[in-house]
Amino acid sequence: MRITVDGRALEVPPGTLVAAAVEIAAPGRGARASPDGLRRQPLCGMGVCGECRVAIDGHAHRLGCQSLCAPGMEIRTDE
Amino acid sequence: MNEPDNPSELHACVVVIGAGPGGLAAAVAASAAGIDVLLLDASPLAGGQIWRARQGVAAEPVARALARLASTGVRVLAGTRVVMALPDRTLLIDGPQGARRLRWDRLILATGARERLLPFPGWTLPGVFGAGGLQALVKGGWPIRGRRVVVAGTGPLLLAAAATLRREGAQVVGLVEEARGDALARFAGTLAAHPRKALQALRLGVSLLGVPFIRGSRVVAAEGAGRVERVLLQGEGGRGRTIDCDALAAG
Repeated sequence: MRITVDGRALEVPPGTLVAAAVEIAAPGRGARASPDGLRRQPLCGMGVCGECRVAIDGHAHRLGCQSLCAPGMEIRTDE
Repeated sequence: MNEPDNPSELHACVVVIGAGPGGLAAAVAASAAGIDVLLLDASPLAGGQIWRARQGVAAEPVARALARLASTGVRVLAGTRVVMALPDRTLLIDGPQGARRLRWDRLILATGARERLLPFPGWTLPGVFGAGGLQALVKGGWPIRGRRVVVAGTGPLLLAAAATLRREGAQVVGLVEEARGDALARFAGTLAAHPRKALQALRLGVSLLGVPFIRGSRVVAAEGAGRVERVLLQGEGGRGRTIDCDALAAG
């Protein structure tokens, strides 16, 4: 299925987590930065740590590790 | 999972929080007794951690349980978290259909466990994960093929995490167990009384052949410029050791 991450189109198989799509789109970059500007990536992978937060289809603060990609989904990091 | 209609307030005789092995079993048992059941889970797919779907495909026991729940009309709310407990046997829940109240007569908590890892310098670097956490992400398509991964912590779940990562193409460059060799030997001895567990352990052992196994050591720091590049270990008697890697899975 086709999705976009920060405006860039990406093809991912069904069952792909939003957090995984962010990593595929920009390896190692992560979805957000700490208040002092350090890049962060998911730690817990199960909805506890919040380091995978992204905006999905305009809804901010969605947990990327608890969300599956869907056709046409628009994901934005650092929001 | 099926979604019920969207009233702002839901009610069920039995509400089960958590759709892992325990929650699924509870929901199946209660619905088989003719009770009105609602099952919810924060994850978009049922199964919990142990029966986590791989690339969206449900594990066989999960598919079986969900089919039974569907046949008895159990409502299943996926991707739905409990925000707080309100007075009068009511929960505030939030999911794809927004925030709603959920009233219950009986409440079953099947929330399982989560990883706790003791922080160490560098634990917030990109590329540092919980061991079960990385396992979960990889099952959801997180790219790991060809990456060098150190798996560290303690307990048999580490072996399962390392085996999953290896199966998905990771290069496990170190399996670091905090327990010392003599303690591990005692644990292995207890498996003799549980043949199925012993067989499971044997299969895991075979799938991990060739992986460097380091006993009696723990992670003291993760280092790297902007992301993890190496892991510092400390063994018995304070002996230090460094392993270069692209990811650290700490459990």
